[in-house]
Amino acid sequence: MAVAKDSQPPVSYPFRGSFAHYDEAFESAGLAREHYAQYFEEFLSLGDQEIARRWDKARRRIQEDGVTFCVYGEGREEERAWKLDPIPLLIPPADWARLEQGLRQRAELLDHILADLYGEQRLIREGLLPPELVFGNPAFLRPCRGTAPVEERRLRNYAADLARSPDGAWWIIDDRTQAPSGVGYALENRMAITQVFPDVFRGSPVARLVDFYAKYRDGLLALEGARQDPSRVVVLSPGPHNEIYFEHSYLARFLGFALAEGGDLTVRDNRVYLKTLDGLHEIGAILRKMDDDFCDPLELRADSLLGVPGLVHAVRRGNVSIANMLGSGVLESRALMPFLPLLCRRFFDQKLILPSVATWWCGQKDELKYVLDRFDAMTIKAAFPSPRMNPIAGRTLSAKERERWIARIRRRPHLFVAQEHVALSSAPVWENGKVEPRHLTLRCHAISEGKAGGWSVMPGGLGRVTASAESTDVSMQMGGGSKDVWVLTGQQTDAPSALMLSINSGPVILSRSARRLPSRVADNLFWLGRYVERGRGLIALARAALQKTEEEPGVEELLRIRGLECALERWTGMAEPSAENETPPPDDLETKIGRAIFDRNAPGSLASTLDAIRRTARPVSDRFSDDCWLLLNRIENVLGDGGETGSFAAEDGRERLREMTVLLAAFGGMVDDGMIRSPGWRFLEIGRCLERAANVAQLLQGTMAGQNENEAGLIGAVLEATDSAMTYRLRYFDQASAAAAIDLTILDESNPHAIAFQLSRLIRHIEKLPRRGAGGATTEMVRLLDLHRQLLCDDPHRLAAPEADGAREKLDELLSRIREDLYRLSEELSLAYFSHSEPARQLRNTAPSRPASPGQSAFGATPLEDGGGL
Amino acid sequence: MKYRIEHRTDYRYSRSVAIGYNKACLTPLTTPFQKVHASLLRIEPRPEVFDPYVDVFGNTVLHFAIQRPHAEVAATAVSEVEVFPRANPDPAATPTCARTRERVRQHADGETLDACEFVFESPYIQIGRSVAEYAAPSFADETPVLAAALDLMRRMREDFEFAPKATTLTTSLVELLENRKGVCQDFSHLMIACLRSAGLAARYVSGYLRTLPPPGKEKLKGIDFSHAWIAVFVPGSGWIELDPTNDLICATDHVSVAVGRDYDDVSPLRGVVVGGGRQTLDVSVDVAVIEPPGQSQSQTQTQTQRKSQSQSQSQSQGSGQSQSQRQSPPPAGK
Repeated sequence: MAVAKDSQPPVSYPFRGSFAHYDEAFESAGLAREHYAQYFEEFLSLGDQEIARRWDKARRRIQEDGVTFCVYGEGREEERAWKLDPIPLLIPPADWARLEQGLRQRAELLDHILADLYGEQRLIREGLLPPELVFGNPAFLRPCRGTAPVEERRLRNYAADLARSPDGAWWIIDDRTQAPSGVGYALENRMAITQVFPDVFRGSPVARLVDFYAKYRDGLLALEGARQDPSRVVVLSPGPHNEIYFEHSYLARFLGFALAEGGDLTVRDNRVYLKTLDGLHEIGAILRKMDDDFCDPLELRADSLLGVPGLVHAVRRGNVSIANMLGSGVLESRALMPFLPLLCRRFFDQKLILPSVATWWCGQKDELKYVLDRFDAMTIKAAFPSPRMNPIAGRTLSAKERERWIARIRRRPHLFVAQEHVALSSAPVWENGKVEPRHLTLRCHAISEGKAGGWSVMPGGLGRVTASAESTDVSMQMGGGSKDVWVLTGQQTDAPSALMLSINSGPVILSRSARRLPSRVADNLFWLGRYVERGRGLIALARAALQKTEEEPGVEELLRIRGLECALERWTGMAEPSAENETPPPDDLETKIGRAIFDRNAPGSLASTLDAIRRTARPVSDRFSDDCWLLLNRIENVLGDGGETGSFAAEDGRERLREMTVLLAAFGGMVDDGMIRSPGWRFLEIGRCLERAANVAQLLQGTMAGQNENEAGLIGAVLEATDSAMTYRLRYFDQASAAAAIDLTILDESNPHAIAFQLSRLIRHIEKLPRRGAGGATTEMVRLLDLHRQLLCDDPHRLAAPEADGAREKLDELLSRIREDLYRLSEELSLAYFSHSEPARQLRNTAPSRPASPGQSAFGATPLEDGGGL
Repeated sequence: MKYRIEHRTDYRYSRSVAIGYNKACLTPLTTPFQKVHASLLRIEPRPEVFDPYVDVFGNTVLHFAIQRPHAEVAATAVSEVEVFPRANPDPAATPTCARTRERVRQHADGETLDACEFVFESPYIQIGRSVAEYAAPSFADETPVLAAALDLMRRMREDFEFAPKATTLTTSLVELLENRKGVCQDFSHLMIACLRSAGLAARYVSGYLRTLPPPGKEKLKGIDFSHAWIAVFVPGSGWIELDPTNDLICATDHVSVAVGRDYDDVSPLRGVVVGGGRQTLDVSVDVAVIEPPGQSQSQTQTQTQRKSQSQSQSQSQGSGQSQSQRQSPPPAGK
């Protein structure tokens, strides 16, 4: 199929009359630009159906890989699948050469300005920058003055948002200099597109991204503090609540650095350390994905709970390199834009290659007048990154609002800039089987090479498109999507490799441990193990209960499994204090099971347990493969959203529970299978064993330990709920014996569902953990060993013997002790291995100049002593 | 005037603190009219990190960290400071508000360039409409800048009541303007906001004020407080310190410790702890005169000269309203 040459357009592409804006792919309706011609030929030759089929697969992959971003709104955040369009943005070689050159120059310029603002401030003294832009700028962080590295670049990663004007020229609309996002998503986009359209990709000469990431990594390793040692570098993330947490973890994994949250790092002796299970491990360089002012509650934003107290001082003392340097957000001020051409002359005696969108800073008299004279043609924006403000288009205001805005601008003119209205270009997207135009901006990244070398621009980037043809807002929060960006080169390039390993010239240092394990990761793995087991146990219990109601729906049978029902209720925390003697109506149990499965609000329900699994798995997702996420997402799909009502069709329910059992077991197995046998894995196992033992103990205590009317039915249900029915049948056929059931579920060390089995595994794992503090076994460990010994020697007949009232006190006693010991063990492990993860708190002299109450101020005579004079 | 100042802060925690990071702004400033003879900071328990530095405003800040479990911290600053009289310009002869504004805007010299740092909003200084409206009557373009500032200070004295419990650190200037009650910190913030709303440069000064015992009584130890006041930039004369709480121009009764844009830059002790549970705080300050003016032996000729100038100045103040205010409770320094 030929494009561009035929008079008949192969793609119907609705253009709005004449060309009010530039279109990336078409010169006119149906006439594709030269550099798109071949692409369209390949792409469209696949046919609508094939494109749709492949794209469906890609979307599923994105969802199942957990490529997400968070949407905030109405009090809760929601995770959404990343939105990617199948048609890439193509940039021809000549265009790109100019963009690349312009981005390099701008990155270099901004780096110079940054060095000056946090150093000598000559630009202000020479009158090249008004002091308002610095001293009146909330993004200028005074504690960071004097911390700008001299021999290294201050900026390591610079990003620009670009738009193309109707005449085809690129303009910079925003500079991103704190912790620019998009480097990870761009890579993910490329992987997705090349996997689904390998043929189309191979047909075009597209520049590879891999070298860029290699240079990114090398640049970070070249930082003073990193000393070329990857274990001295971390990626600092605000954590899973951040909208683009996915990218942080993806990038950390791809670059091969540990992902840390503020709580994983601690400052000791003015040095930064990663808290690991083996103790504190020194960090020399931080790639921070956190805004400037959140990084240190001691010297920056006091209410930040995300940062690392003492970090600024560690930087001040030269003990850690931060990319980008703290305080670099000052460059994101739009008010700087009008001054860049002059500064470019001042520093390099060059013309600014890439212009910024026309911007007037209202802090200057003439500019203010100019803006107010043409108010209707202007978009008013905040001059500085904070406080945030939505852009105001002059022409959309009512007379009254207009007046109010003008008064506001006149009162504090330096806080505002006016920009020319930006007419974004359009680019084709594939929507509902059709090619349609959407407005587009482009985010490009540059990174500094080596210690203080030149700039390397990612040959590609992140295309961002609006949700509709009319909208001009590309933000994902507002429903926008993304595009892969293909930078076309003159010649054919190599096929991309998924692993993207590169041959490095240096000698390789062999290593058996991937990285040191942060304590928080161990904490998460421990709870992941517990939640997975909790979910599994709950499904088994629900299946056992459901089976009973289906097979024998009689009232008598329900009474028999009352014990089981009690366990279920207690487990999910839904027990109601009523109805000790009432016989529940036959469908009541089903409702309860329904709630135990679906109700997200019931703590301990399957739905909320799955939430907890996600919550604990996400921060450690760099520890297991994408396939694990696929399984989790499948479970979620099987669970469905029937939960709102708690309705539950029994036949269907059984089938779904069965499927979930298999998927959850597969998830557990896959996590286990792919994991290095490190202390992290041990914590996962410890969590799992601990939870299983506690659950079995709880179940037995709620059933076997009490007085029961129909023992045989109950024993059957209990055996099923503990996954031991099959073994029991093999050993005892149909003979119902309490002693035999107790032996199998508690004492038999060879049954992987018995408590004794869990205890012996716990002991094995705990013994292998890194030691904390003084040697020797801890109290809890001694108790655990003692308990284990008791289980091995105990007599099942003794435990099964009922008292006069029919209850089994000995059994009850033992189960209580087991539960108590397990609880204490869990507490002790938390204290010993995780508790320094406790978040820091702000402490402030709340009333330094306010009078203390009488009687509190009697600390007079303190002798003058040393303590280090100032 | 020579002082010995002892400023002690005690933190107690209900649970043990694993590690605590702090920055302390407790070392008095060295200025042309203030000499620090000795200043010691003692932290108990002894911190593993004890690392002083000079911040962007020229204050000496102590960064310290206690890295082992502790349930209480005592920070004691003991300083011997001598304050000399200074010559303040005749308010009526200072440049006009319009001229001052213009000089700062042009920032052609080092002096005005430094002042630029103190013209804008800062964490505690939000210049809303109500602030600007309150300030406006004092700052006609043609009024000499220092006279305008003194007028504002006089009006504030009339309009506001000193009330220790009326405000907290989070009370906004808008609320303060509504309730008209507060302490030295509030008055200083408001006055700075008013000055900046008029395009003038103003900064926050933290320090101590000499207090006099009630008539006929001995001065008690540890009953003093840290104090706050402001400094306004006057071209040609530099920073002139004014105490809006007591409606006076600062002389030798004020010992300055730190300057900044507002309280946030100079808070005496700021910290972050890991663990700790509930915390209680005690602060005690003692400002003792160890050498009254005239008894100092180490004065140079010029300093003696300046002192005699200021004696007359403080006498003129003494006969005024401020002196009686300082002698009667509530104590002035808040």
